[in-house]
Amino acid sequence: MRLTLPEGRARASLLMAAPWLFFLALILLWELVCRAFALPEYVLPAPSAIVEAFFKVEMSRWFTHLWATLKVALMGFAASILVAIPVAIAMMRSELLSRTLYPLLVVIQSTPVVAVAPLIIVLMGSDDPSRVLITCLLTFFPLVVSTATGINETPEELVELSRSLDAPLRRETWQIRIPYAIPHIFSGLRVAITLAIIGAVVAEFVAAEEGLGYFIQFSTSFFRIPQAFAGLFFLAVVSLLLFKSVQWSQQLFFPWSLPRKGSH
Amino acid sequence: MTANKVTPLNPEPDQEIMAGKAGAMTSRPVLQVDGVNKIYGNGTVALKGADLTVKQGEFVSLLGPSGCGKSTLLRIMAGLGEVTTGTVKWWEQDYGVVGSKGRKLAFVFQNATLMPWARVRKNVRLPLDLEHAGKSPEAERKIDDALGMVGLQGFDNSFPRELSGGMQMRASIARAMVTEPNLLLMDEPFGALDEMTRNRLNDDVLRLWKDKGWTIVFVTHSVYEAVYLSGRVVVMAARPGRIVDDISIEEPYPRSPDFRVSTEFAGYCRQVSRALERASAMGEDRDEESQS
Repeated sequence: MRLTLPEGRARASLLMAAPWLFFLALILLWELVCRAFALPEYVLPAPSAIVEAFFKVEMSRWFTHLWATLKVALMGFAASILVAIPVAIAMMRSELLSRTLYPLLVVIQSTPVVAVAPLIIVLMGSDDPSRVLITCLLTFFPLVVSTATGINETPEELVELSRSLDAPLRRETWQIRIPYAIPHIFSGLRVAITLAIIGAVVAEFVAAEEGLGYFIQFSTSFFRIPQAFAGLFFLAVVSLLLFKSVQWSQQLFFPWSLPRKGSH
Repeated sequence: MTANKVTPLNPEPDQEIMAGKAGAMTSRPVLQVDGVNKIYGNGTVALKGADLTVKQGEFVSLLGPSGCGKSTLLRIMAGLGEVTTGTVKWWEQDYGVVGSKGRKLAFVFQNATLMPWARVRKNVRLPLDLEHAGKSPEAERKIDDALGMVGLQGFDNSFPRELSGGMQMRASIARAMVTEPNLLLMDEPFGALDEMTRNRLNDDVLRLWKDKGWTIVFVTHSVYEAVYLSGRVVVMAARPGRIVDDISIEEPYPRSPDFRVSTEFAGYCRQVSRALERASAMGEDRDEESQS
């Protein structure tokens, strides 16, 4: 059976409210299940217990952990942008480089970062640089692939126009290829920002004394399960906000690169 | 044509060309294609023994069935594709380098290919940005001139999506004009447009050709378009791509829409159509020979 949506304003309101309503319904169901079956907190805490646990922890402690995670995630994310985009451009310019680097990138991406993280900590120590590297390893690949894809999708006519004018490759790249790659770059950035949080948390699981990942692991090890869930939800909210901030930056700085409404 | 830089015999050919401005044909060849063969890596012969000389101020159309190598030949004329054997000369000189400044040629593609993120003015400016001409008053004047010539004044702040197909193609022509070329190569530029827009743009191109003193090589599938626009229609056959006929259209310029309904026009169209049928038959004969 096909679900038909109302037209006009009602449709827009419904589309906007649908995810929130679904989320609220899930939370409600969760609370009811916990109460109905009297599930112990260490198995599955009720949402109300998680909220209570959240407010039991001092805000300053939350922000200390948040800042530690955010710092590593954003530094790893920034480092991967700084490395991935020039690498993608270099791979676009040189087939030899592309063929040489691509298998290595696939190997890096295919190796579970959880397995590599302890080795990096052993090699580099347990400070921020090693955590940033772990984050960068996770975020780098999607960004290189999406940027390279975007650069290669530049219409051949514009590339030929540039060549017929004898324009230097540098100018061709900045004037034509990079702008054409912007929608792809932002697709990569949206994936990369969520991976950056995962990378930072993985690094904290391995070696850290603060951060939301560390906080969750610490809470779990002391059977403070509602507190661990509170940390988890906080992390999810932060991750969602970072994801949205990438979308907002695209809307603000590159509105033309967004798919036009009704085009799908 | 080689990939190496060759010192021009005449360092400033453009000044002489500009002196012979205003669509007036002179005997000086702008473009000489001599015995050009183009064979792709997989053995496909795209062009075989192509010989063509285009003189200053001429309007030449390349016409032929699909796959006859019209666009390949045009790209070679633009210096965008290497030849397997043969030579290409611009203004009797072996420049040999893609986009060499002295050639002053521009290319108009089948699609307008405007940058969706840039306003019309920025799109028209692109060749100057690529040449790093900067935002000088001279560059701004060239952009204003180009927009004015194609009738897009007042649209310079519009985005391509806000323009009709015909206006987008005008913007694409303005982009080609902004470098003030002497030789304009057009690859089926109006193929995707409706008949009325196409006719209007044909008249615009003729007017610009006359006013700016361009030499134009125009690839088209349309016999009517080729006859209406050109002083010469070069007919090509496929498999392998080769030039099989070169028909002069003696009708004087300027040509008005009345020419389209004249008996002379019908006569030329008949002559070109027959040449095209013969060219198509040659390609089919080759197909049958290769199958047997």
